[in-house]
Amino acid sequence: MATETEFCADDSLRDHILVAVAKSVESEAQELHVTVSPRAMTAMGDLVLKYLEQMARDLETFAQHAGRKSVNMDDVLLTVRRNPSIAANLTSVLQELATTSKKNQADKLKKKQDVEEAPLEKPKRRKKDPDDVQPGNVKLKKKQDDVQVGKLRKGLEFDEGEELRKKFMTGVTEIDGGSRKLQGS
Amino acid sequence: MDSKSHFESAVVYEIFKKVWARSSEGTDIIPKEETEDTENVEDDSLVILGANAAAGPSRKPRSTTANANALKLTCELLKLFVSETVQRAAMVAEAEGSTEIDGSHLERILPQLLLDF
Repeated sequence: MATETEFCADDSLRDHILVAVAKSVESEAQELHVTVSPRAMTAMGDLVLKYLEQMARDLETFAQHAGRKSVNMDDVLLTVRRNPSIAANLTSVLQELATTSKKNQADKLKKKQDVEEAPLEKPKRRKKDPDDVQPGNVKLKKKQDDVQVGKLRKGLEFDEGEELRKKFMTGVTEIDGGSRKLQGS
Repeated sequence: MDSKSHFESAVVYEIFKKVWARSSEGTDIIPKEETEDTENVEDDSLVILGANAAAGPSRKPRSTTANANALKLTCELLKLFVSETVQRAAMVAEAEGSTEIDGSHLERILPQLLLDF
């Protein structure tokens, strides 16, 4: 294995990286109220490039070690295992990515369900209520709702429950489902 | 995060592919392919999908690929790397009394930076 003093990347790629690094460094330096000399700028660009190439080799090794051909997020996290704060930072970013993608999928599914099953949607919402209720109150309300919905559903079909609900929903806000049902049933 | 990362996944991916192609070349004993490779990638350096130019007819079909989220994480990591570098260099420059980050400041922070990352 020859230690490479030359870069693997060709000039155009190197330029792209230098530009990106320059932008990042400029914005960061502005916040800290310092200037950066051009020599230091190119040095940092080359540094990032070397770091990237070394990371590529590490990632490939990790993926091969796991028996994969495709580099995974776990491989990236393994690269920073020695620095717990970075690892924590990246895992939080990872979770954000995961939740946003899940949310998008969930929203799409919900929209489909809304269109297809409009009458059945309301009883389902009784339990979940993510949009209607404020976060502080969700848990308490959920338990109450679950108990009341259980009572309702024992004797009633969905349609019948829906009619009852329509009767009692006029003039009452949706959130007070628990107390209202006590009166109704 | 107040500022968006300036690093693009596409560029990072291209660099990774270059390195992986080079490493898989090391296992083959065909020096010709190397020059062909660099020429192809120079022409369409940003055409990610089409630039399977690394896969020649006699090449092993074993070059690594990367996940999209892995690339995003890498961009995030690069951003952290750059900001950490600038902050440490700025501290050194400030201790010296100047407001310009120079090569000498970078030299001083480099060993610890590389160990931390």
